[in-house]
Amino acid sequence: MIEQAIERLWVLGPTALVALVLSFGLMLLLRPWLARYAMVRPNARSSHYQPTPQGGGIAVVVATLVVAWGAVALSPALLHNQAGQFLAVTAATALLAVIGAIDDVRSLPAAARLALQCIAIGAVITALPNELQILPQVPWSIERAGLLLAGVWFVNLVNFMDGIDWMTVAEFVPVTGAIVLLGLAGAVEPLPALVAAALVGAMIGFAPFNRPVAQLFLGDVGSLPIGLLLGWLLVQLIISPTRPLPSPPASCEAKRSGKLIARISISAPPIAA
Amino acid sequence: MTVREIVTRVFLTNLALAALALVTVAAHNIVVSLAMLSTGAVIVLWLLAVFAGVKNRR
Repeated sequence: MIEQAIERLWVLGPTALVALVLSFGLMLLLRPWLARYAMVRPNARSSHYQPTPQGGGIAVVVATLVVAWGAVALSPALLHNQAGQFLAVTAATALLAVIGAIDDVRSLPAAARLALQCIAIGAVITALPNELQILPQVPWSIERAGLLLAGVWFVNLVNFMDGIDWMTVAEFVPVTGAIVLLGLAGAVEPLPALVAAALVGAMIGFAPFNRPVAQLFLGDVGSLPIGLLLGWLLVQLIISPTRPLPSPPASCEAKRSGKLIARISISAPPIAA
Repeated sequence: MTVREIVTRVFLTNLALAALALVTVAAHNIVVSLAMLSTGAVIVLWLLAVFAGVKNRR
């Protein structure tokens, strides 16, 4: 098991590091341009008093996706039969980034924004395996509708938190870091672990710019798509079929319940303010 | 309470929750899972109580 973890570390470690460097570098390149075209004025829930550039999320999203796809191109085995899902997640992430970018520059009507968010999140849910059911006691269609609702809520929640300096970093780094650790232990599939590694690296690259008082915000272009990415990762965490350690004798039902509780507990990070 | 203090508390709470989740996966036992879930709930309650206290004092 230790050999396996070291082998995975050789993939996930460089992935996080490259994403960090790429995100940081892109942030440096984009910041002057964002300061000219994408300033955000403080509002009631802002923790800043001066107009501040937004749009740093472009660097986070680009670094995460480019590095994750780069790693997959180098080692296609990482996809592990999840190519369809990864394509859907990438397309949906790009769609949310475009919606966010437009909304950052000129405000979109709320109904149009919500409809486009539902399309993006619906595409990701549609790409999940048909046989997947998190709660077998609940009808499949109701569970899928619940996932759509939860997805829309989660994406907008992440977006809401972007107004507070470092809050998104404080939420994403521990959660994605834990998913990477579970990936090292073999408790999640290689692809979600890879995406988590790229995302944690990219967020750490963003952290110096968002340190209070923030010099740069993610903007909708970043907060919506990374909310989707984290939501997808959390679903993967719940449904992942693998386990890290040999299990002691226990009933199948107890195992299943324990697994679900463990994964739900990491799936619900506290949200402050 | 400053923004930095609030964010530090949220970050530490998230770290604690992540650690609890890792313990549940490693232990692979329903009793441990429930204990960790309860501990996580208490930690989040504490965080919310701290924030509510700050708000009320104002």
